[in-house]
Amino acid sequence: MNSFMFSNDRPIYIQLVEQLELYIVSGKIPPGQRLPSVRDLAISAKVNPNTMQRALAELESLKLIYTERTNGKFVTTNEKLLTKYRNKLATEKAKIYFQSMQKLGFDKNNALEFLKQKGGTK
Amino acid sequence: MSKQIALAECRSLSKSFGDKQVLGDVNVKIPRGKIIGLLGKNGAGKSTLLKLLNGLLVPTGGEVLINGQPIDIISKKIIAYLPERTYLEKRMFVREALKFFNDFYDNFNIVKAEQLLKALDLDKNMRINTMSKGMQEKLQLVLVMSRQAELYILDEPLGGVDPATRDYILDTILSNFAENASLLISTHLISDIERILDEVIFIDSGRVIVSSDADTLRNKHHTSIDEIFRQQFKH
Amino acid sequence: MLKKLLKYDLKSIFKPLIIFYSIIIFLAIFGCFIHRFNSSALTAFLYDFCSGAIPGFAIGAIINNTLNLWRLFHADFYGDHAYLMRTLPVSSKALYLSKFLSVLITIFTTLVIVMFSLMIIYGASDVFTNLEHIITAVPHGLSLIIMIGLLIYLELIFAAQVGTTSSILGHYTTKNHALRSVIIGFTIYLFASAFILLIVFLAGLINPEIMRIFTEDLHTFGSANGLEIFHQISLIAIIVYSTFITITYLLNQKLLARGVDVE
Repeated sequence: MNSFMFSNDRPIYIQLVEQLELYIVSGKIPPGQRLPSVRDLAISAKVNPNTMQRALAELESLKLIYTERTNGKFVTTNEKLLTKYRNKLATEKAKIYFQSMQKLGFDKNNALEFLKQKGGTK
Repeated sequence: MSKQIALAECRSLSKSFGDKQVLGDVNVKIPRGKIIGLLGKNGAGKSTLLKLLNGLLVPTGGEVLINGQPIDIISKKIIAYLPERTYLEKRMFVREALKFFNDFYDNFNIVKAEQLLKALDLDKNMRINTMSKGMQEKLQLVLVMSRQAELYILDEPLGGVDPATRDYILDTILSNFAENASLLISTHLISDIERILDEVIFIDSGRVIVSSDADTLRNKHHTSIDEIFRQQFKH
Repeated sequence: MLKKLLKYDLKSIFKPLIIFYSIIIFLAIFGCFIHRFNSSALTAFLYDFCSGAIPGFAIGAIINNTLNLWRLFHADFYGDHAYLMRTLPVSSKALYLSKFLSVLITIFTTLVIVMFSLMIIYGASDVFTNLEHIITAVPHGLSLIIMIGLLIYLELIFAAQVGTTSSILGHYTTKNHALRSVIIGFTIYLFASAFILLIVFLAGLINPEIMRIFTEDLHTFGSANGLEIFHQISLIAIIVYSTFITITYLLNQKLLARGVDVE
């Protein structure tokens, strides 16, 4: 894991949950992948192991990861669930896009057109 | 199940030097397996509190308990203390300092210490008084973090070094403390350290102003601990 | 743990002393050697140089030894090094006992080397034959020499003890530790000396021979008589000093165990 820049304004564990959620739904940490120990994860993220523990507990309640008693923690293989979360996050991104464009004076249709154009180039 | 005894506790602790009261009626409980920040301005009484926890000062009032007992040999075995000053003999060589720790502490991991020295670019064969202050601080940090302790007490571990080194030091601390141990870190540089804190204790003019879980504080004030602290002491 | 503490303490005190020891022993052997062979102006000069230099270095060694013992005590209990030493998993008792044993061992070693070297260097000259005469002809002669050595030994240990006790007592204030320690130290030493005189005086009440020290000029003492009295007074002094040393050891240990503040 990287050294993600955390903001001190919000609880760290929430930021960790968001970051890990991103890695999981994007496939950066593939489905079924075994996670390193809590301590190792904490060290690589440069956070308090308790904070990492809390974040993992949260992810577990979201069913994004599960614990196998003797083997450790694993990323879910539930594709439906992963898709659901991916869409949820994508929807949030879209919402932000449209809101930002609205501030620039674009209405929803114009914003969509603009995106299509931009998406085509490259 | 009965409440577990706190790892370390100060009960009505006060300390005066002559007429000057430096700590007044301090009540603090250090739990197991947590990282606690002792935050305050310079001169607030942080170092004094930490010295009292280590038996280097005699309380004027109240008491210090480690695992429910007064300070003794057993408590010294489980506490690893990093003071603000250089406490090694200046004319010693680095390798001799390692041997010293190995001689007196059963829970000192000399192999780990040597690895850490290498990682921090410290030469085993240097004499301590030829090292810069920053290098001396790193050396002492290595010695302390190479101990398998239950409580690490670090007095201003980030003081006096540049921001890049601070990151490195925090890293070294986080990566090396024993599992389920507690860290009690005192500092006036709150923004550097607050992200790793489970709990915070604000101390000012020798009194505990705030003692709380870090996230609870953040949620309550909707801002960083650093900002809360600044607000607290705006006068 | 005590052994480990002692190992480091002795190392700390002996390190600078080794230089003194080497010089003293070298001068003694060299001077003695020079004197036994050839007899020229040069060898006479060299011998005089050596025999004159040794007492100087001897005093230097004793001062170095004592000062370092005081310095070591202060550093380990009150100075920066105390932050390390007093957080080690060792009892206050062991920590102090190591210092005390260091006093006994290092001063003994220094004295032995000094006396040994003096005997060698002066053994080459006429002084030694006089010394031999004293030992063989005078009653208690040999024990007298031993007593003088013991007396010096105890006096030096007592000086070291006064240094540590006054350091502890001086640190009970918030400021001016050094000044107060020095004043307290001198006061203790004066009282101790006065006390010994008092005891000798009391002994004089019992043994009129001893009382003569106070009443008559020294040159009225015959050599045999004078040595006998000196012998008895030395005995008294040895007992009193030993008592002082024991008392200061126990007092220091108790005060340190109760707890003291680092600087």
